[in-house]
Amino acid sequence: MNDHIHSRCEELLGSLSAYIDGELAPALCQELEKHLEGCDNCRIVLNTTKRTIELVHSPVEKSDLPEDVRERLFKRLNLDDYLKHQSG
Amino acid sequence: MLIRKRKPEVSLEQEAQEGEAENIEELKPTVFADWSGLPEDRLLSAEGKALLDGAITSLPYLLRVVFLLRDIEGLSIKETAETLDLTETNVKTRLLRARMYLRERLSAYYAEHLQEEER
Repeated sequence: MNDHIHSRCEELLGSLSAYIDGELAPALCQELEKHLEGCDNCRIVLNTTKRTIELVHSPVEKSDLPEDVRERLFKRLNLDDYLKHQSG
Repeated sequence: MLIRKRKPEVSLEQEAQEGEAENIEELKPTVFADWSGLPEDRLLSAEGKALLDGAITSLPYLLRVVFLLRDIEGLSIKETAETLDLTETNVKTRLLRARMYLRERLSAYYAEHLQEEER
């Protein structure tokens, strides 16, 4: 397997995040899926990106962040408004 | 998790403009090991979790907050954009960069695990 990607791959990988979120326009979605069928590297990037997001979502990770820590983290990030909005 | 202290005099908007990098070069993947099939208990070993935490912490500020709100808190693109006072396009770009960065970091680590397994 080649350990590099082509310019076409680069172009399509720019849409990868939107594709994972199901927010890609149907035409581009189709184009990306067609490309994925024939491109091992892009398929690997897609699968491992999805897996990365899943790992962050894992309940183990979530429960590791107690409420007070979460609150401090958000305050530190200047996102208090978001927390207020959530509880209000 | 250690969070880098933001310079208070710099607004989110200013940082967004300064840090703007639409260049795809920055998120070009270089590791192509398919570790997505490894079982979760191996992926989320103590070492794996520490690596993931460290990778999230090392994200630049605006990539980190976008990733945090969207992928950890589960806000929509629109809600994330409103919370951070960024455009939706800006949020999408940052989310892509954050995800690709984390993928690359995890891939480098898990690629070694795959090699060990093959030996």
